[in-house]
Amino acid sequence: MPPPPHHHRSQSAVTRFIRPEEIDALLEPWVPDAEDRRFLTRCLVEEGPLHHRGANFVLLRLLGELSRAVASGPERPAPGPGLPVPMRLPPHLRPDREDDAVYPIRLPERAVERLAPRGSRDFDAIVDCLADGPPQHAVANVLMATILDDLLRRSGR
Amino acid sequence: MTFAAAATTAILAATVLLQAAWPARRLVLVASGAALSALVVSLSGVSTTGRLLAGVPWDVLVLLVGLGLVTEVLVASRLFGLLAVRVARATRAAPGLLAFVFVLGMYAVSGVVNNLTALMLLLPVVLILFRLMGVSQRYVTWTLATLLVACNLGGAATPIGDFPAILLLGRGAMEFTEYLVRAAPLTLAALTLLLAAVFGLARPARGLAATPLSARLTVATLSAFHRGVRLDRRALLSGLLPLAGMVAAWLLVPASTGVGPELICWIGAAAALLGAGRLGERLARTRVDVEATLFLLFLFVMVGAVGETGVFRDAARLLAALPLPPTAQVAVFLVSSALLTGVFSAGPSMAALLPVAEVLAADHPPEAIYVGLALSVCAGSSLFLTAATAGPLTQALVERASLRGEDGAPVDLGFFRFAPVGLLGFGVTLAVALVATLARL
Amino acid sequence: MSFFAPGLEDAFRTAAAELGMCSASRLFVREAASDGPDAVAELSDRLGRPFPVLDAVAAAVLEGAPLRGVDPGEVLATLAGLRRLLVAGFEADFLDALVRALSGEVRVGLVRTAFLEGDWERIADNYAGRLELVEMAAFAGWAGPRSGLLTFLYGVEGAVTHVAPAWLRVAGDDVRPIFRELVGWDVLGRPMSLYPRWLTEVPAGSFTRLA
Repeated sequence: MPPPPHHHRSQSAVTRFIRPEEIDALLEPWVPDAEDRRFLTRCLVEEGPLHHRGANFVLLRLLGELSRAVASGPERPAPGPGLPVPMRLPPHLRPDREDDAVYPIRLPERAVERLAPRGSRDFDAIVDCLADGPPQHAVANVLMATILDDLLRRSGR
Repeated sequence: MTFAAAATTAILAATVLLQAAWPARRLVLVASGAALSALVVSLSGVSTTGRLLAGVPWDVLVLLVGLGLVTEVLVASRLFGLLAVRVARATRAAPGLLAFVFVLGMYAVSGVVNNLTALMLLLPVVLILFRLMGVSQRYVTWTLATLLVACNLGGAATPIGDFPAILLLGRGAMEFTEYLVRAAPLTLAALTLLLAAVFGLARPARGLAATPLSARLTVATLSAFHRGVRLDRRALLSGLLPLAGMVAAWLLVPASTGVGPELICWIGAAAALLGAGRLGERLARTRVDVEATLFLLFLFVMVGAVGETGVFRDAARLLAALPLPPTAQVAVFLVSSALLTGVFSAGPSMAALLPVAEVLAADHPPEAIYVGLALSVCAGSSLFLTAATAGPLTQALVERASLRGEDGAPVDLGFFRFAPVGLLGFGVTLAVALVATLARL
Repeated sequence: MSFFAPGLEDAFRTAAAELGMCSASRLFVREAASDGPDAVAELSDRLGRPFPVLDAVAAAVLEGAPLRGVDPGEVLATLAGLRRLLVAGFEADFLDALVRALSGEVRVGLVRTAFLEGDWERIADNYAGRLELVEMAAFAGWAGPRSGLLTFLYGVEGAVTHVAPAWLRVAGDDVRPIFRELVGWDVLGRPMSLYPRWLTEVPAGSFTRLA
């Protein structure tokens, strides 16, 4: 019989099933640089609240499974232009350059365009929702959106 | 005495006493005192605020600000830290020798930059050395107290070293060369007597335990602190060249050209800041000693208000009416000046006493009176630890350094610890001032 | 007859404030060693307990291991690809060697976190403009995908290591995911055998790179 909902599993029980190298492999098609992947993997499954790390691993791994299942489909097309995923810095601090203080992954614009036309208020709001928050939310959202968009495109949608 | 004369004198005395007793509020106190003085002379019809402000010796303030900024450029060159390392190496951190060299260094530096700056340049590194080499209460007391007296003597040695001399230069009471030639040898004589007494008789390092390895560690650590510190040649040249030019101009440009010492200083400071590039702009924006400048401005207003009521003329007349021979009257004036400075500090005393000195200078050789006054004020500055701003600053820095003696007890420099050395410095300096002045009359 | 004057502890504390615990220990042990092992033993005996880093440095020398120059090669490899390096905690010998070896294109910052009271301006003056002092309120401005945070470790023993408290002020949970690398550089090379006064224990695994 499963335990009641507020019964928490031990820390080691959660960290045991998280295998960072599998997330690293999942990232490879979109993040070619190994050091960038290591950084993103750490943000996704090694930092932040434990339940987020576990949930990120599970959801991303399942999406990876799905991706592999449709691998026989058309070749993976390029994701197209992407939007930056900013780091959460105190508001008074401005990065030195445009590519500073952003995570080394971009949100595919085409994924958002499936739900709202580019330039619309909805488009901006969706981008805001996906890319906001600490990296265990924002990077995970963007990676999931990237994989889902890829799956849809490979299934001809 | 009129109401205005009594009121402005009372305001001046009360403000000076209050600011001495409550230094944390001194700027607000003198600002209030100045406003009140202006109100009294305005309402009584003796003068107006406009006249008081017009009477402020702005040239003195220009000299103070200008010299302060040139000093800041020199400080930015890191020259003084590197010199301290050289001194530690050359003396092998021998406590007695180190103290002697630092006292001489303080005298030399405070002749060029104002006393507080000289102290801020040397004291931090001296305190680091103290922590590294290990000290006793006796060593700290004698070394630092002598350093303070030497700082006052150095300040009085040149016309640009400290406020009293700058005031004489700025007000045109004396020319640069005239002051330098007369005051420098006298301060040097006082310093020699002081050094003989301190290092010949008292011997600060007596009984201090030191080992060759500890001395080596002191030198090695101080060297490591500066291992990559390089002299900023641009800042050094930007400071030194204009300063040399200023001194040359003060010596050579005749007053008849209309180019006064304050304009020479102004041009020199501008050249130093321009030469230092971006650093110069930063220093000009952030390093002007606003507190000291405003303090003196308000003080000048208060003294000006008293002066407008004729109090200083009356005081000089009173002095002249004393049933004493003229030389004894001058001696009374010099001793009173020294004692007043001991209580009220150099700035207020000098500002209040100069108008009296001007009256005395009409009947005696002016240069003897003015240099005598500057030296008496210098003597008074050494009398108590509280007599000059440098004293409480040193006290605070020593406390912050958390020095401990050989027995582990905290080491400090309080009023009473300073007193014997202060009295010695006061006595030596005043004696030199009296002998030199009376011999010229 | 003692090798040292009575104020030895204050002298070491002053040195450690501006050079770092390990670098000051190396300097003191090196100078003492030139007077022979008895001087090192006395130094260790007098200062070992309050300063366990010095105790470890002295112990190594007394065991016959000479003090060597600092080789930044290993830590340099962990910093490959970074454009900005922010350092929390200070060790003069080690940072000197690292800054000399780093490409001039890498910005190097030192977070001003009070540990012992040193003269920060003089600390920075030793690096000829290569080291920027960074206030606590602004250090997150150094974050980025090509940024690293580095601190000095005082021995790694199994899963734990010791760091200066400055590291804890800086490397909080909100900061970890905005720097690509969290680098720990072991400057001691051996665990301390005495209570690690002044230092804080952290998991060695909390660093992304160890050198």
